[in-house]
Amino acid sequence: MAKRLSSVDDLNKFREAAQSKLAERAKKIEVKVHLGTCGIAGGAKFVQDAFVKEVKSLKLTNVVITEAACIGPCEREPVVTVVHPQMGRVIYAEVTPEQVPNIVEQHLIKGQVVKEWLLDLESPTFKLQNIRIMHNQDMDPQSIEEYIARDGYQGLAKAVTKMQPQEVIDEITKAGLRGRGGAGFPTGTKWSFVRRAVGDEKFVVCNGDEGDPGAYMNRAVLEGNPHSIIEGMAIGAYAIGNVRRGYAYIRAEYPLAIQTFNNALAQARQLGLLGKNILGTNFEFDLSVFPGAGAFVCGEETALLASIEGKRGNPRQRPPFPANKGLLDKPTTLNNVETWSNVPQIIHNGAAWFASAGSERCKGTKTFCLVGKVNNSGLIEVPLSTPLGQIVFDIGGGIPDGKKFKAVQIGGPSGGCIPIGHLNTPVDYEAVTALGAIMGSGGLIVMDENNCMVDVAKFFLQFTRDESCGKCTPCRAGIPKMLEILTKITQGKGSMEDLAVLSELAEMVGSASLCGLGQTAPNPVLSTLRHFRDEYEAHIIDKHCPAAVCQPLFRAPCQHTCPVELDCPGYVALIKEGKYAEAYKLIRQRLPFPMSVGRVCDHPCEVKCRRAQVDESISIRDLKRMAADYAYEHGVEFVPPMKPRKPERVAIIGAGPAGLTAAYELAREGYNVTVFEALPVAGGMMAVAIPEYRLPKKVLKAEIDSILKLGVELKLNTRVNDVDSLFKEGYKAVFISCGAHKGDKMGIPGENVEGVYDAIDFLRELSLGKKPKVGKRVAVVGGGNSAIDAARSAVRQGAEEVHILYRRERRDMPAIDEEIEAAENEGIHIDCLVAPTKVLSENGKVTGLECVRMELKGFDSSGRRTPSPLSGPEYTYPLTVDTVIEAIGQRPDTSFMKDGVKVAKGGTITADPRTLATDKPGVFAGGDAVTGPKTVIWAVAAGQRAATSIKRYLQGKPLSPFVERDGYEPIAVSQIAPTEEEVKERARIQASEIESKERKSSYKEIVLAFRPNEAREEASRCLRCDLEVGGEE
Amino acid sequence: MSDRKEITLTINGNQVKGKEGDTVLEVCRANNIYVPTLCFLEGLSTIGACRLCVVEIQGERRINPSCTYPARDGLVVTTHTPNLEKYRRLILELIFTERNHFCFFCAASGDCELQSQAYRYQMDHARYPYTFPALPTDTLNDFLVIDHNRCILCGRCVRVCAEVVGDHTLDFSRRGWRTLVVADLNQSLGQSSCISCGACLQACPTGAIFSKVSAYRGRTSEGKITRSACSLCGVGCETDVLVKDNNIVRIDGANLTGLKGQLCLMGRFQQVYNETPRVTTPLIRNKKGNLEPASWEDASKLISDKIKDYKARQGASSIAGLVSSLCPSETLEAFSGFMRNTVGTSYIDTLDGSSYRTIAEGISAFSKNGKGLRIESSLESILDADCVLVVGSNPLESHPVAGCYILRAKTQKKASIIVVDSRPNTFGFRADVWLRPNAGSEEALLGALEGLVAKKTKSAEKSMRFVSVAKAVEATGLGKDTIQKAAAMLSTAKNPVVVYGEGVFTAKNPKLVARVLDLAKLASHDGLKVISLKPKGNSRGAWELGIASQNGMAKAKPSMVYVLMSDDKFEMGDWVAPVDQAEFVVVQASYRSPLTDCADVVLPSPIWAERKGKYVSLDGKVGNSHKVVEPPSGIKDDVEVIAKIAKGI
Repeated sequence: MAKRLSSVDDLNKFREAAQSKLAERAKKIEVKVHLGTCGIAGGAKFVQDAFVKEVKSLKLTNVVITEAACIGPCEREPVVTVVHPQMGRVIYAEVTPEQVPNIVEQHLIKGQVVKEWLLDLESPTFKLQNIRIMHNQDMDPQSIEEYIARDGYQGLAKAVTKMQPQEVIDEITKAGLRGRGGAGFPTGTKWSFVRRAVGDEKFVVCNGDEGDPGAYMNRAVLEGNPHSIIEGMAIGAYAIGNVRRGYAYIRAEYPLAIQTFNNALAQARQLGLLGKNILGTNFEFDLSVFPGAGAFVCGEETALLASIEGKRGNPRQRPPFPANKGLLDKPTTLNNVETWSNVPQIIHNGAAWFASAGSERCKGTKTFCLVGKVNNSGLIEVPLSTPLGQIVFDIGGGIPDGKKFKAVQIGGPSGGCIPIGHLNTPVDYEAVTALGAIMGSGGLIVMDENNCMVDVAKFFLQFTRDESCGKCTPCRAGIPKMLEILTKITQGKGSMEDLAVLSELAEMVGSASLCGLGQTAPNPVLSTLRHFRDEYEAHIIDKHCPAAVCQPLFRAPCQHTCPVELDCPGYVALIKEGKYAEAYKLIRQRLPFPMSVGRVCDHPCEVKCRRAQVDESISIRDLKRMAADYAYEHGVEFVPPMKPRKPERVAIIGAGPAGLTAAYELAREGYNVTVFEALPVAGGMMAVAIPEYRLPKKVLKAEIDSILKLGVELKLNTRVNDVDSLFKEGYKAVFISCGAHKGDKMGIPGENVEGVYDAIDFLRELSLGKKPKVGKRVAVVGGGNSAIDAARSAVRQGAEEVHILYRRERRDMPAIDEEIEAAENEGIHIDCLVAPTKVLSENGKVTGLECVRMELKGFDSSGRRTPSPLSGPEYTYPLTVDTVIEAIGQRPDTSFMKDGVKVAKGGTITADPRTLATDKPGVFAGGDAVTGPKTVIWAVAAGQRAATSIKRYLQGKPLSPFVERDGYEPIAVSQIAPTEEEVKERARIQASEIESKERKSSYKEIVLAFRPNEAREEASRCLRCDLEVGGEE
Repeated sequence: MSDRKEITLTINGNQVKGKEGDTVLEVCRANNIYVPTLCFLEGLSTIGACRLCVVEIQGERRINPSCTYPARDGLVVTTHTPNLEKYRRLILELIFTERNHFCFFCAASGDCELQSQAYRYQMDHARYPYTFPALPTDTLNDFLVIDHNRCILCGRCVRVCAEVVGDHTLDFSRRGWRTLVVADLNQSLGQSSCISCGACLQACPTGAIFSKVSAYRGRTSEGKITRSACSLCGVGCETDVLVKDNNIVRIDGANLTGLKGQLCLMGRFQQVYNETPRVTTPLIRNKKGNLEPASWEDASKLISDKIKDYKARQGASSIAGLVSSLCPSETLEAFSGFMRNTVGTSYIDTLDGSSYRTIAEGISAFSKNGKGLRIESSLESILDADCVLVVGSNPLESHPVAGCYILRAKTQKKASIIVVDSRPNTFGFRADVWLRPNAGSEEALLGALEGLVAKKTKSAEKSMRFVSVAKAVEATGLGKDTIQKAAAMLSTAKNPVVVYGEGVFTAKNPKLVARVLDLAKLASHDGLKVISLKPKGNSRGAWELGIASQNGMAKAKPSMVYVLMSDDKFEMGDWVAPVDQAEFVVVQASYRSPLTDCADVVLPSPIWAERKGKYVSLDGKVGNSHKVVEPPSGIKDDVEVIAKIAKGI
């Protein structure tokens, strides 16, 4: 049994002994298996056993196997650190027992690190962290020797022998330590309240009742560094005075934490660091663990204290505050695990050291649990006020599977979300609160585009509903009511009045509830209402869940996500059975351009495909093309149902996909439709922007012809100059779908010389058969689809070297991924983080571009990092080119809109997004002209929306947000779910492509349609989500 | 209370006065500023749960419930703002949609605080979806029903049960929206430790807890409330009796959270709905031996004649009078005057006379100073006790409110409880030490306890004769440890109280009483704290009138007996034998009983509610019971009847 340490000298001697013991050990190779709860759950014990067995069987005497706590990368458990006396420290992640012999053989024996299994300690994930609270996580938490060897209990020794209690409090105040439980109350101030409170007996309590879903920072510290908490509490007890007992309230779901903590207590008592006459002084203090039964509300201080008293864990109204009347009505200070854990280091290293991290208002570091839709999920420690975007994208490594980031829920169920527009927010108490969230104890749940924010609010309310103690009415009854309203909304039964009731109720519950639980429980509702009101409105008005999460609103996520709600599961199932003609007809019921869309669609459906959770999404687009091509080749006729002719005439401006779709639908309704097109061809961007190698003209023409066959009048080369004249000519309604054909300018010097093209003009000229002059070296500026199309077309026009200059990173490029890859395959250079600053020219002809290298700085409101030019001559370079194609954006040419239709700043027409009505009666607008450049399927959807609105307008009915697509005969689809064999993991089938040699020299279509057997095989991968019986609701 | 410092607050812009230590709500109430409440009940701890009483306080970031917020000098409070009123209405809407509040068939409709708040806030509809939970209704208790569908979880029942009744049968189970009020560990109320006192019922602001005997019989506004006193057991609880159409609808404690406010199942329920057949007209036994209705004239003349006859033939001592201690003092006085003076007999006793004589002899054996019953302390002294010794009694059955005082001392003052009783006694389950000696060995047990206590506290008086522990162990059959444990509790207590009752009286052993008193004296530090739980509501009143002073009936062999039962229940007792042997028996009683069946003349008598009068509680306090209903026609007041008979003699 160890001897009591009865003076600071004793402690220092003990430290020296422990240090030399560790130094001795450091001469050997140390294999540390990280055995936190997460590690054990990941199988770390088996890994440890495997190491022991292997080392034993190979009789490796220079290897010691030790244990340590969780160091953070929870997603990649089990984690093993190897410290080699010569080679230093490396960390292996996702170690399996099977890998162990290899690591032993390669690393421990041969001295060769197995690189592919290592954690990259040089990555931003680790470099941007600042490890202070977790600085002991790599030592054996069961050993007080190791703690003391690392200067443990030096803070306590300093406090009780060299400092007056008030000095200790002053030091904490000076350091600026704030409560890490979430509220951020200054710890020094709290302690002085308790110190000043009258009472001959006072208590210190550690709040280890960590209950937020997805938060386990405190568990890691309790398991990994228990002595820091014990020491912190002892220092606090000394500073406050009259404290002889403390309690650590640790939830019983943390058995390892309780065991570790109790072990630490026993060791500290044995060494006399707890008990009477600590380190030979008169200071007396002891503490014990109180296991909490796992009620979230017991994280509330008054409830926690009631729980320790053996009562029902209900909070009580303050005042009186625990600082005056706490545990057993005695003055009590209650601090979070992390707060206590900071104390010893502050006393030992001084306030200035602590304040060196963090910001002016918020000093020190903070641990966070970074979880959810993030690549590197786990435990991190960063200085307070680190920008949120840095945490998510640099430390967290961004969003998996290239999905779009949506928001971070911070502060758990009591917190709120911070949306994409606020990624520059410094994560600290004030900044987070200003956005309607709270710091909380440190849970960060990352959410992507596949998270429905109404559903997220529902999830957290379910939690707080069940965890409310039930004492006060607003919390007990208000949370279930809010949840009932949210449920109603997610079922598509909500009304806009519900939103008003909901926000009023949320405000009341937050204001009138008794304790922090109720006061903060509405935060998820209030903050999603604040930042994502559009999603609520989509659920209520459109009966649409944009993230395709709220099951009662749809049959299958693919269909729900498709702007025209194509019955994807239906036609996929028909293709699986070989019923290609039926599949085609089913598609045609909602889409007049199946062949075109089947080729060029950006397929949002595939983004939400649930098959992707098994392996990869279904090739929904290619299957559609297969069915459409099959029908075309086999002469399958689709005759849409037609209604009797009506007398009214409708004018449509622009023969793009939006205009033509509207014409088609209105003609079906029996109206007399005239489409005015300024260009000599119909098809809009489909005809004049998408190159032939993606969409052959023959295909497009066939589809346009089938529309014109319904009696639609098409007037080519006819520019409409004002809308009013159309009404004068007798048209009863007008649909403006003129597209966005005007290219944006870079706005740099020298732009107006020969050889500088606008991508849209360039592509249009190409498709109209004119031959724009392309030199040998071409620079395309921009990262969208037009840029890729222009670049690939330039190659086909004979360019030898084509550079795409993009100012952000490749992953930020808005173009379709497949297209970018195809461009690269064709030898096109993609120069990222570059921006042109000047067009160089000689004799009025382009000779080059002056470019500057860019760096990405803070986040803009779209959540992307803002590119900013690097200053300094070394970052500027000339690029020799003879052709420059600008593809940085398009906007509609609305110069003809001189008669009172409202136009927005960017030139887009202002129309109601649901009904497409402009503020001029009888005038509707849609497609790129309203939204700016978007893909074909969105234009088709706008055309259908416009047709419904115009029909209702002409019939004198109120406009509706719902597109009417009636009159079609149902097509029977198999109701058989996929077999187990079909569900088994297998890759999606790639459509074949033509030889790459052939590509660069011609505009021949590159991607080929699925062959029937390929199509059936691919279709058989569909999980048939549409057959699933809805979830709990 | 008056020595608390006066403070000045600004409430709604006006300067108002309060006392230091008040809450903001208390100051508001004292100054007639209405703040709505639901979970608040004066006298109970405040929990700030319903949030109706929230107010704005200058300098506070949040709104605060006025019921918990300590008032202090200079505080600026606003009780009514559009925002606060909105919150209050929203909270009411929440409560109404949370469970099933359908006023039109609720027993509390018209007497419901929730309903009246809804009227106050003109809650014509609720905008939230109704949850309509299907919650259970607990009907297994004989008197109480808990319908959880109407519960608003204000916790008043829980707090009154814990803080006033001291029983703490009720508490909350589960949490959040699933919270339910439960008895014990989720028993039905009828199978729980509930003593059916009904305090929870009276505390309940809604119809969630209602009384089986009162439900749907009338609202407060439809009847009249009369302040009265319960005369059943001698605790002397003040009651408010609601009467509608000459029927008792409900009996409430006059001050629920004050002293003796909780009442008990006898005082609150058993008297409301009593189906025992009444005597409604005088009856005379005819020649065939059957009782037949007779006129007051005939009956009183017959009695007067018989008295004259026996007096003439056998002397006045051939006539004896017996009277129940349930009668008010006025009746007792009239009866004793009639028997002593008009009839001239000294044979007069109360039905519980032997209990008195046991106590009285015991007291005089203990102390010759002649203080008699006045050496006893008040019932309230139990509330301050840190140790209660209960000898031969189950207070929760005989005097439930006194029993509750003991429970309160246990929970609030951490008092230890010792029960000494040789009979089966369920109060023993609530005791820290339950001493159940062999029958007849109580004296030895008490003697041994005296010895042990004296050893620890002070030298004993010479007159005392202790019993050795060994002897006591032998006599009582109890373990030595148990006896020592009890003695240790008594001797370490700073403020012990001794309570004894019917088990001691029935033993008729004055020495046992003396032992009880000796033990109390040995254990006490500042004055003797002893209370005897006397059998009837006015026992002390009757005894102080001297009615039971002589052991009359034991010596008497009366030929005629006049029993004034009034509304007492027939119980076998010492007095039955002389009645049985008498030639002519007059019974004046409210209810038919075996005694009226064997009487020669039966006279009707009013029940408690039909008469008024004074009662002396078991600790000597005088209470007034009031006439709350008219008796059935033909029933005359006892005093009047006695006077009429006297006139005939």
